[in-house]
Amino acid sequence: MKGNPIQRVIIAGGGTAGWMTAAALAKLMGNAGVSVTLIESEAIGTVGVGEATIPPIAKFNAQLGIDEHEFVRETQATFKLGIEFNDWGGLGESYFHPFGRYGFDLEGLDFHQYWLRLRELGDARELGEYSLNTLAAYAGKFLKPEPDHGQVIGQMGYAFHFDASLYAAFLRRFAESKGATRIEGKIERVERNPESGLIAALALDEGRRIEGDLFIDCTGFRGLLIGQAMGSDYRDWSHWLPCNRAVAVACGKNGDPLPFTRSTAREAGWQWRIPLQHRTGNGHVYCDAHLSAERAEEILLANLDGEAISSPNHLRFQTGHREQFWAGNCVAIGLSSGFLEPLESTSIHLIQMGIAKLVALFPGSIEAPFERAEYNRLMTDDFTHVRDFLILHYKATKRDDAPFWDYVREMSIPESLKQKMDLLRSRGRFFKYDAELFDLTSWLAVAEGQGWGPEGYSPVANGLSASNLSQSLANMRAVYAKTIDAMPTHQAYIDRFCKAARPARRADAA
Amino acid sequence: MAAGDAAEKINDIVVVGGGTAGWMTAAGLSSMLGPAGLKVTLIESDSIGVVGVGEATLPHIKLFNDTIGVDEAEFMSATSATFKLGIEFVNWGRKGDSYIHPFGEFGLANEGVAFHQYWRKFADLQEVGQLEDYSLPVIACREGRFQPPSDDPRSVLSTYRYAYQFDALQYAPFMRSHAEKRGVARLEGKVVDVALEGESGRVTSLTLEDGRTVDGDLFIDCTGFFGLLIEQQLQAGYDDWSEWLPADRAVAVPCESAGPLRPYTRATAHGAGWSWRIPLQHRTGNGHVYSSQFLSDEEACSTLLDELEGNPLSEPRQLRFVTGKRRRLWDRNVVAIGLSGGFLEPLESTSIYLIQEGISKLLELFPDTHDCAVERAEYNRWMDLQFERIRDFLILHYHATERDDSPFWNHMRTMTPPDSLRERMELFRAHGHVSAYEHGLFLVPSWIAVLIGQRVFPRGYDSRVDGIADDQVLKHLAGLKAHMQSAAGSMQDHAAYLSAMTSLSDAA
Amino acid sequence: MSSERILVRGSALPVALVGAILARRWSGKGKELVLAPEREGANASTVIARPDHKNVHAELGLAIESLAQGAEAVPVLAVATTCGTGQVSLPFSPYGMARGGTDFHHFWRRAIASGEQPDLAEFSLALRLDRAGGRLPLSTLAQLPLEFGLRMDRLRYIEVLSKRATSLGAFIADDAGTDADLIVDCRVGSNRSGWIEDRLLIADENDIPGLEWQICVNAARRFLGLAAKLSDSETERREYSRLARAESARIRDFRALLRDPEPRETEHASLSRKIDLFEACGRIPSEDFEVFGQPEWLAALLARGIWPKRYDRLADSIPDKQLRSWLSSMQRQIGEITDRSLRA
Repeated sequence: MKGNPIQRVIIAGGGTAGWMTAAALAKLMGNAGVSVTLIESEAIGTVGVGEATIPPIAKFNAQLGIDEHEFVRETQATFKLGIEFNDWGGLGESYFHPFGRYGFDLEGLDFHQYWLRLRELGDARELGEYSLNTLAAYAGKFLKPEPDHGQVIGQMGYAFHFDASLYAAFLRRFAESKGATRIEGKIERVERNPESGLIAALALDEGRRIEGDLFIDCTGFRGLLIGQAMGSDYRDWSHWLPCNRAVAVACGKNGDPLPFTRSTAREAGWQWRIPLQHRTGNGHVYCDAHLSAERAEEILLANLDGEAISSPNHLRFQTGHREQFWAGNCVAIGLSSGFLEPLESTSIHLIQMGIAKLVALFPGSIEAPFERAEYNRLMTDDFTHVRDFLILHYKATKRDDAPFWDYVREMSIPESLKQKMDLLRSRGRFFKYDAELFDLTSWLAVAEGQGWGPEGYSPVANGLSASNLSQSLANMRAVYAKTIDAMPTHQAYIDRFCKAARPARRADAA
Repeated sequence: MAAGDAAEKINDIVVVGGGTAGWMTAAGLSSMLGPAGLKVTLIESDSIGVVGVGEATLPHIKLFNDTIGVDEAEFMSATSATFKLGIEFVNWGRKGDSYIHPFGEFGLANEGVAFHQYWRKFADLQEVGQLEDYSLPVIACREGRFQPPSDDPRSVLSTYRYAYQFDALQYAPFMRSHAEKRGVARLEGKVVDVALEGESGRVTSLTLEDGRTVDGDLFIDCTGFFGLLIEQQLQAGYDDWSEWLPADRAVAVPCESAGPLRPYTRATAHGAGWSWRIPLQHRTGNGHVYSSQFLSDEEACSTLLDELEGNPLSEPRQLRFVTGKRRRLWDRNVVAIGLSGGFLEPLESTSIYLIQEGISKLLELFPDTHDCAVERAEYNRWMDLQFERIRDFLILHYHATERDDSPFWNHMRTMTPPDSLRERMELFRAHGHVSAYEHGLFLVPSWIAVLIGQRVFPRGYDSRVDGIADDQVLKHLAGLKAHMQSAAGSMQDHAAYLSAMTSLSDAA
Repeated sequence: MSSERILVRGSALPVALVGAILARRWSGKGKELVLAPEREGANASTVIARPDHKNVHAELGLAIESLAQGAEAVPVLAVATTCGTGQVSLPFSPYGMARGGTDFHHFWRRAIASGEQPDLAEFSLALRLDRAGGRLPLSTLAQLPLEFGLRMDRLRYIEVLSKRATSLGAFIADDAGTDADLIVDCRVGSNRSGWIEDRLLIADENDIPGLEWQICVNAARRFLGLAAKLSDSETERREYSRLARAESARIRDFRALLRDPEPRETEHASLSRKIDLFEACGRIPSEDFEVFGQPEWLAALLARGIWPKRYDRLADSIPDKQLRSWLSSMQRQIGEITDRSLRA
């Protein structure tokens, strides 16, 4: 028996998650006879800070037909080639997690195996010397790769830093142009069908009532629909990722924006630095069991490289996710579905994954148990994969200068992570699980950067003579150096192609 | 008598003179005509010197080598050859200028509009850089890199071709061994007498010093500037082009190699001419081409010696010449190939090319009998066209200049160029279009390289460039520039490639 | 800056063809293209595109299959036309196969010299297929080493091209006046061509199948190859006219060879050179900017009774016996391919 087709999608909550969802559904489902309505209240502030992303966002933009340069211009965005991690493996240490691969494979074997062999032969060069992204990042260069620009530039992976509130506004314009309807109002009550338990409508202030077939919960940490109404439980991961608070502040910019995010480990957490065109976003993620809010704010303000231009904004969270991302006819997307600290800039990506999977599994009728089950399985996998990668950063450390670090260094870790770390450690091998987000490059970057790098190498790497190998790698370095030389600086690229119109706030632009 | 009857079939070819032209001709003719039953004899005398200096070539030579079945590695070993991706011109447009005329293209054509048009529109922007930043062979030259071009037309590594720089004194013996393998008979001796047939005026036989006579049906004059048959006997006449190309002397000296092994030839302009530098495996060839009207031999020699990069390996040798072309390159039954046919200074390395073109056109039109006035006329027309088009291109180098630091340059800058050249320059100066021809050596990219390299900057550009958004063009330029750098960076070191290649061939 | 406007006017086919090619490259910011086609007389119902159609249509994004559908395009391997001595078939592909860089007809000439009587046309796959009159499916044709043109329904081809031109940004107007920075006058059939001030004249006799089409294509390309600001293109205009003159001379030579009562008595050096050299040694010298291919020149020369006195010496490079077996096997193969193609 066919149930009722889904014709009305109601999105509860604006902000990044809400408007990303609205934009995608309006664009991709609009022609299929699905109406998209978003309810948000100006009274409820969005958690809008400097937001960093990872390369798959290009796919989201492309699917929606968003012009990247326009998007960069409109959101005061800068380009991001990777993340610099300071003081993670040990105090005073630094490494770079690049968004593009290392070197070129030789004879069908991963590049890093040859690098490992050469290192064993006494060559002390770092892996980063074979990464176009790393080299470009530290040279302050950027160039967007195009298909006809060859395989070297083709290695360049990039994402963006942008102003989250401008991004929401940008997507709102986009979504509305594609037919999404916005309703201003505060949700007072969630009306459920007493028989089916499904959400029937949302009651707003002033007695308004919005009916729908499918409800997307983008209400943030509160989880107004998914948690409070549908009662989806929260799976807590704070024993592995104990940070549960953050304090964020924007500061004036100091020189041209760097094309990367910086993450500096602190005594009970870490601090981010996200450069935008007009200012720099900063934040301190910490664990309240080890650090007071006052002390956290003090550390943050003492470590800004420009003058603070907003008052510090304190946030609380709990790492983990909903047992059910999709319950009944309600799908949670964004913070309502779970939280993983932004150490690897995955927040937007998880929203994007939620949207992509919803579109792929978009149900034919309101009752869709199979689609729902599959969606929940896939999203749980996504969260788990990211979680493991985040834990790696805490676990693979030598730091013993604070109780927080003693805890994370010694804690037991999930079995799935343990296997990966062991495999990587022995001979630098890595196998990606299903649709895992972070690949060999990322794992290698972090593991190697935090002193948990491979101890041996694949015997296949002995296939090339040492002199031959050394020559090949010297050639690669030369190629990278030349390429970097020829690239424009990050600031020059922005100035030329996507400079924001004026260095002012435009969050309220229509 | 062999050449007595006009209807007699032409079967015996006699090449007079060894050296590069003689042995190339003997090798070329014997490999193609040998199977058709013709006989090739070459007469040379060890007592007559060969004008052999470091010789730089053009990519066409590969075709010639392939046709006669030369193995590249063997050839390069035997002639101490290096690879060549272009020619660097120093001090031509202005003192201090340098550009490279590459064997390849600039950029990639976009939407049917030549690449340099896009570049021209934005050439004022510093980030856009020089036209040569978009030429793979130029970057490879500057970095001393070489590897054979890719077969994949989509790869930027397929956008160039290459030639060689070799020791001409070693090249002739190498060609000789090939020719002899193909059955060419070599006679040692000096020609002391030439017999002409009364009525037709054709050459019938040659008498050597020792009294031997050599009969033949067709004679190829490879006796150099002297033109033993074509001029001394047949008086075919000479078109003097020194009005446009006044250099008439050269002084040459080899020196020890110094610095990295460069995959290009250098031509440096001086006060009354220019000097070449041709890097070989074992030494460097150098020479100074000048106009005796403007410079004394002593001054020319000291200019040359002053700029040598290593110790000279011999006494400098003087050469004299008159730039121009034999009026009839093929007269009666004598064909002049090489210097006997004409001389164009080696500024664009065209000497070997002209020999090669002479051989292949002769093969195409090879006569059956002496009744071949039509073939002869066509040969002469064709070769005249080749000479003239190269001449125009050479004049361009002297005429398109801002130099006013010597009477020589004042003369060159202000002279009236041939109409054909003047029209080309005007067309380019207007909106950067290059007048095309089908049958000439230097194609559009070569003209662009020299015109831009010598500051003939188009006033405007192809207006279709405006049809594409500036942003898009600039993005394309930025990416292409970096792509060229990385592709060039991925090429091998010239010396390393060469030594790997020649050691492989020695081992084989 | 106001936009630059080009007006293309004249007979419908040339206007559509020139218009489409220009539209592909003369569009975007500051460029305006207006087409003003006139009704064509009903005398011709088809049009022939020479083998160059591959490049032209590929650039216009017109697949050959869609032309087959939209303009009833069928492949043409050779075109027939009148010449001083009757009819001649001009093939688009070479006769026989070259060997060692030497054209086939030298070997054929050698066989005649040794007393045989082979018919050169027997060695032309194009002529054999053409004569057999079967319709080759495009898929079969694609597998054969043949150059081919297209015969299309004239009105439908005009329609296809006009649609393409408008989709590329050109406008079609009934009465566009003369307000333009450049007026392209397509008067194939008259005899003045060149680019003089603001007039670009595309003209020649349309008396050889495929010529009208090629003249339009070449003119449009020539113009685009020299595109510059229209108000500042004096130098380019001269160059255009120089190239157009060279092209006219090539066509004039070919026409004279076909139609003049005594082509040998031509006053044009470029034609007499071709005739003389061909007669002397079987070579056909080419000039800059040829319009017709070597096989067409060869067919025309032979049709006018101009025969090579001898063959190329390089054709002597194989022994008699080998030559005979090579020729007969080639003839057989061509026969087989012809049969097979007709069955397919």
